[in-house]
Amino acid sequence: MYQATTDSSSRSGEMRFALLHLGKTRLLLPQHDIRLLDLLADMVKYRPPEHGVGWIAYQEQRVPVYALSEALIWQSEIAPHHAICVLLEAGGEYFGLLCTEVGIQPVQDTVFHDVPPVMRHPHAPFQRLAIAGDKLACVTSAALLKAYLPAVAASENLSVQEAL
Amino acid sequence: MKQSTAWLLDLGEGRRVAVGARELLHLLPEPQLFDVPLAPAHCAQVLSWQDQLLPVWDLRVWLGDPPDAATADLVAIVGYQHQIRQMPFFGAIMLDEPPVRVQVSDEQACALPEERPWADIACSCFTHESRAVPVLDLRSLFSGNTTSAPKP
Repeated sequence: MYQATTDSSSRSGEMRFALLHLGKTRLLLPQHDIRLLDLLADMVKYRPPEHGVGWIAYQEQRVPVYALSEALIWQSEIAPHHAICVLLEAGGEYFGLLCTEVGIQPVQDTVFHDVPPVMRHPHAPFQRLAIAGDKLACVTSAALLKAYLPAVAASENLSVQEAL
Repeated sequence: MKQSTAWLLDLGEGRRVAVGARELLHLLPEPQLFDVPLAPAHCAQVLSWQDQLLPVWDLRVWLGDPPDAATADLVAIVGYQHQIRQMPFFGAIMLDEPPVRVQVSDEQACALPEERPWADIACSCFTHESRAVPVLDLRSLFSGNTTSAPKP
């Protein structure tokens, strides 16, 4: 388990990004939206949340975990390439997202673009695109992903022992 | 008899559309395309060109071809303006073959085909070699206010 911390050594005003891999699709989001990285093996799959795939424990809470396909469609099953659970926080609420891998994306190596009007989806969880290296990423945030969740995603105030 | 110059864009299987002579800017063979999730099936990829990300239209999919069957061996980079003296915008259109330059007269004008809502993306139409060739309205094409591709 890796717990994210605020990096006081980062240059003032410079946002740092994390790159989440969902198979071939990549999501770029502010690193400070991530609270925890956990292994899939630590996730509780028993009685998953509605439209979700499991639960993880965080700060004595049971947090719902969700899975997205490469096409950004919510999945009710864990895919073979899912390996890491990323715990995100938006507006005081926590939720987990499964992904293939997670990396750090330097801002200086990233070029941002607006999504062309003809390609915009009214409910998409991203509003910009980015070229990171030679790959495309969808620029999102925990808030945008939370708004895109299929159901209520508030973490339940249950103890970990009750969940297990 | 007034004539205009146009580029015939080949979509394969005898299907063609046209753009104005000054709207076709560049041809890009075997482009590197990037998939964009949740985008329409007929415009689900972008390419990087001169530090910009251009949407790539696949008119073959819009006409009913399955998305998986589409190949991207050649794209045409096109430019358009929303208003005169404004900076141009750019987009890309997938092609099956390199374009052909033709002269078009008013006498060749005809109605738009009815199998698809061509009026969403075309401003006129002419007959060429006994087939209707819609003239693309690039501003409408890349505006996002078009009917989706038919369900396979």
